Amino acid sequence: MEAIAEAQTVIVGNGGRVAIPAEILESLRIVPGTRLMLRVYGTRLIIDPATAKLIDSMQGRFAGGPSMADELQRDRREEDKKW
Amino acid sequence: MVTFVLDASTVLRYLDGHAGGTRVADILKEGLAGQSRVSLSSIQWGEVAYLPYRRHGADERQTVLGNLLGSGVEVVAATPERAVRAGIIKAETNIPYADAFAVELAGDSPEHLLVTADFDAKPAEADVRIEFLPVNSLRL
Repeated sequence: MEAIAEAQTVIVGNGGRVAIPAEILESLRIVPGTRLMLRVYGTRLIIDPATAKLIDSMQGRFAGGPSMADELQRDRREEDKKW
Repeated sequence: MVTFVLDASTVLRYLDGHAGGTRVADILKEGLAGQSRVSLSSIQWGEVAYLPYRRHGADERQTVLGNLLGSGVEVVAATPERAVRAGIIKAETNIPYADAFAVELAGDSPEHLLVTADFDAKPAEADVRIEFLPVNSLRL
């Protein structure tokens, strides 16, 4: 993952509040009410805005393999036979 | 406001990029924009977890579930009351048990709409609103 801008530093305030610089908000189209997903990888904190772009990026994430939906249906039917 | 009840088969179609995947993406975007609600039974949620985990490992499983939750998908707990109702649905319609939880959730209100790719849910069509994703012609 390549950084597209210089790192910026912010200070965590009371109650864990952080103000994200305006240019970052603008470049990622983060507006009031945008959901942010926080993930910790080792000592790093990754923040992903939940946007339509994220939803599009997930579509076909596992494309090219056998259908997982078909596999699920087969599993369900197999399990159901055991009832 | 419509509450879309997704089942695991719809989410997997979306992740596979197979038939109906774009419809599922549109539903998720509507939910993200606050125009509708999107929910899944916790029983179905477990199914969404295990297939990506089995095929692609723990990191992918974590990413997928995290992104879905981050997109505003609500996972509804399978309480004892819901489990009993799902059991009755299974007994009366003979649909697979996991499917019965999605049907049960879709029965919460007339605004709930079950979206599924699994035609095993067909017998429940008389009791709840169901939208079936198109048949997947791409079988690999």
